[in-house]
Amino acid sequence: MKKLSGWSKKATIILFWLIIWQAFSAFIKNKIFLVGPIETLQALSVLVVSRDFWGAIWFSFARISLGFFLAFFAGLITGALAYWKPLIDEFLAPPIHFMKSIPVASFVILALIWTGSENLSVFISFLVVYPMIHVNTLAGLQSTDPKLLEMARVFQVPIWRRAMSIYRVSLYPYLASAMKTALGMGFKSGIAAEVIGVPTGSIGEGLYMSKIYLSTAELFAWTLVIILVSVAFEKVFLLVLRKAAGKGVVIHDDGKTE
Amino acid sequence: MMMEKPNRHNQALPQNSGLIIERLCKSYGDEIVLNNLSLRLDAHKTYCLMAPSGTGKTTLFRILLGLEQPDSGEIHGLSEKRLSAVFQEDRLLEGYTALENLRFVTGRQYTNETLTNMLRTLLPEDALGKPVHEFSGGMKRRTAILRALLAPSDMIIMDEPFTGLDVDTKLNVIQLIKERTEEKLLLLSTHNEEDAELLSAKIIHLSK
Repeated sequence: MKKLSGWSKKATIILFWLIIWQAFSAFIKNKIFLVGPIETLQALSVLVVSRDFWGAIWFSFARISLGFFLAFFAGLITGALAYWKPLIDEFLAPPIHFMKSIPVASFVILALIWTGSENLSVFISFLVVYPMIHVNTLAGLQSTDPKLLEMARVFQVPIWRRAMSIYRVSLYPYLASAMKTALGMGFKSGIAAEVIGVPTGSIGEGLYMSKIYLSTAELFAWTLVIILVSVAFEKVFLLVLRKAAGKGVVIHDDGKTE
Repeated sequence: MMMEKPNRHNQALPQNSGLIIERLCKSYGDEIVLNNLSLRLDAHKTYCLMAPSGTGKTTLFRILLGLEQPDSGEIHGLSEKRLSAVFQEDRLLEGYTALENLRFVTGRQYTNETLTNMLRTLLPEDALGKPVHEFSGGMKRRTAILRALLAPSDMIIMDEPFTGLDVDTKLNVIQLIKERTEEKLLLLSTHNEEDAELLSAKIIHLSK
């Protein structure tokens, strides 16, 4: 048999699992327990034409991304401060550790009490993303080659140029890998928060309604939408991040950065 | 030419002074690296430190560059000097081109054209567009040397600058170093007496 490679291999594998999925749903024959890919797409096609659908995507996307951006910049700033002064690092360590270890659901309930449901997902995606960015900013800055920093010191290079040419380059691989995890997590927990808080006109409300009406096809359709939106956001954001890192980043043949 | 700042710290030293090192000591734990080292270096001369490994040559350089503190002893004439260096390692920004590496230390002092022309004397034409991590060891070394020569400075320290250079490029580099350091204090280390002669450098022997 001829060896498949690249896209055709991926497509074949995906097709294989789609067929398994379809076969399972045909076997079960119960549209509440499981729907197949075809019914999912049908449900999606019904959703796509409604105005509420696009409104819900915008509602959730805007809030989750807002929380995400706030977390990104806050994490960059406090990560840099923690690198600059170890005392600040020690001061910030307990709340960061706290944020990382508390279950998202507890935060959701707390946020519902504090802020109400409308801007819940801003708060939740911030809480999930912020510690990751903070920790990785600090780690990235600490990974900076001390020999290059000595060199810059001897030549009395201004701090701004050091930041752009040395720190930015060593920060990039840490931020990029943190982003890959944080983006997915931010979206998933943002939507999970919406399912609990049920803000009107959100994706979370859509998911909640499909639970109420036992509409599994709609649940799957919404799920697909969430995946697509978060993947698209991830791709765009990583591209922007790569651009922002500048050309000083060394990319090896295996695609890894230094 | 930069104006020399007047020396306010030591009246015995004339303006535009050299460097006086007195009874410098440094040890790491029980190991004594520098033991009462005293040196007098003139402002516009070239000195070649002939020192076997383990005689504290790199430590002396690091102290002069302000990267280490001596345990005792004094250095006069250092605080008003702008320093530049070739380190034992190249210490280049690997993802950037040679031009960008020069720009990193020179700021806006030269035009791109001037810098590129300087690079052309030491590097092959096709290297100019490449990031430094694609360079050979010798090409990186030459870039590091050029960076040290072009950075604004009164005193340049070079720690074994010619490692990894073949004979022809070495002569080329030595010529350039002589041209660009006429007005500067140059302190370099090498294992090779010939290098010192070619640079018309005064030889200083460091021993344990």
